[in-house]
Amino acid sequence: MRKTGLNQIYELAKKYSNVNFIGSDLGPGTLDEFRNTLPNQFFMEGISEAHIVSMASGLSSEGFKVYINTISPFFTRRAFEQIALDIYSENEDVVIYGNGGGLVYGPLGPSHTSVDDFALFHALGNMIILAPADANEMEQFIQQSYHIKKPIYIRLGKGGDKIVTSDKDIQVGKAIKFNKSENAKKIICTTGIMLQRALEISDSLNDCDVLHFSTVQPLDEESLIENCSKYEEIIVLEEHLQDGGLGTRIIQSLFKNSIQPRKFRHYNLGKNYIHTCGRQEEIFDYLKISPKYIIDEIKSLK
Amino acid sequence: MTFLKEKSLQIREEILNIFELGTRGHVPSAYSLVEILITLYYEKSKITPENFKLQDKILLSKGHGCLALYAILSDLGFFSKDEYSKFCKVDGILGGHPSKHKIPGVEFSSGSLGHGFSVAIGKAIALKRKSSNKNVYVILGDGECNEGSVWEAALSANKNKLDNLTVIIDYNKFQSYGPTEEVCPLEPFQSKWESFGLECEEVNMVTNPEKLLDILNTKQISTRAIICHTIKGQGNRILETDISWHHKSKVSPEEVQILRDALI
Repeated sequence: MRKTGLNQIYELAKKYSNVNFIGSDLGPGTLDEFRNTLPNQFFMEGISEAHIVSMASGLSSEGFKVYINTISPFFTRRAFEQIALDIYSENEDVVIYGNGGGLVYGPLGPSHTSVDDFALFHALGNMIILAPADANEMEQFIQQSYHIKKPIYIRLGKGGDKIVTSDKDIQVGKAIKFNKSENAKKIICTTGIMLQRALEISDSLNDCDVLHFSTVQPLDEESLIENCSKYEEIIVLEEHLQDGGLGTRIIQSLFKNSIQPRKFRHYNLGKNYIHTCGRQEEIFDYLKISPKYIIDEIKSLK
Repeated sequence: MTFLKEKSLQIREEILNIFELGTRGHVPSAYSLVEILITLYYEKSKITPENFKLQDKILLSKGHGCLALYAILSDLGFFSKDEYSKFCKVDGILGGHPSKHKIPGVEFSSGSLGHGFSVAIGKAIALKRKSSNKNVYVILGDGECNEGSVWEAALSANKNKLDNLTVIIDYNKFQSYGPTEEVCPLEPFQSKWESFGLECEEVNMVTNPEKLLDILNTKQISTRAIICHTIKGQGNRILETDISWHHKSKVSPEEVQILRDALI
């Protein structure tokens, strides 16, 4: 997913000379071809995320489109003020391409895991938040991002994520429905790479559909309302802390629209930063939010 | 009397007019900026409402000095002096920090310190990409140079070889809590900038303010830093000596008259 997105940014840069890429001391060899063929559009700055965000704002204010890239929390947490004031408040044409969404960097601990990004950017109500599930969705999003001249944050998955969206119409701002059963009573609302887990859960249960919000903000409320009013049970599954993420936003929308499901469950990463190190899947197991635990729990609670 | 001297006195009077009508503002921080901004707006870049978009870019990163910017922009015809009485009021365009969305002539929305230098780098790169021969000037406060992001930007300016970018530091020797040399010493300041790869000049803006224009008119080969030695409250006998004026709200017309009488 990461490489697909970067390659798409390079394709955009070839096509549109106003596209720039700024990285913050990324891995050696990142986008070498881009750097060699379009050196005026490629910047690899030092470990200085706050500076890079404001520099991108300066470029955008003069009519350029800028993609900035490093590990997600070094933008979302460290450079939040620069994002809020120089990008968001100024409505600059900058895409924040955040590596290591959720627990991708689980082995590296709380400094590197991005588990509060939705909450931080939900506070900035018009920031577009994208969390694609696979490389296919990422490719579509990057292509569309060029034409959306507003601040966008993209949360990346690890890479190698199973492709599950290839037969879907992918549009920024639109939720994607996966119908699994004609008589489904449950629906899982999810985002990012939890989609693959949600589909696995839905396959095991006979009565469960899935609604994928790869655009976390603005939330596709129309789809949420239309779909969720039909189900008895709404389950939210997200790779994010309990508060301020997709679940919080969905509860807000349901309440506002007077939709009361008979049951509501919210699977998330809990209230605190996760000091336990481990691979993404191992931490899902540790927190008992991997499909096998959720399937067992839902079946046992019938 | 030179143009700079005459215009400086006029702008300092205008700043007091905004202060009186708006009843608040950071006057001493604005006063130390006056000669710097006049040199840039009137003499070096010759900014007008008509040429604003195509001229040099001037970014006031120390946004709390905005009263000097407002007085100059209204003098240049960007907006009416009727705005003075609406300073910091909901029906006005002039806020306690400048917003480019509201105020014609403002290049950069500032308020939080340590942002302007990096934004200026983005603009300087953009101008080069557009093959423009215009320059970017960003004005920082001395206290602002405590911010780490200023030095991130200095590293980047050197790396990107931006000879169309000049950083001007209003070195008025005071920050909020007290003297800069006590709160967070900057010296040796010139060698700091030089060690980051910038060419650096110093100007005494009290005794020889005309030198600033001379420096700006010389060709630069790298990003340039100009340390402008100023006085907080410069050009006013009371403001130069009495620190209690640094933060002032609810000022009375009588108090403003006392300041008018103390203009140098």
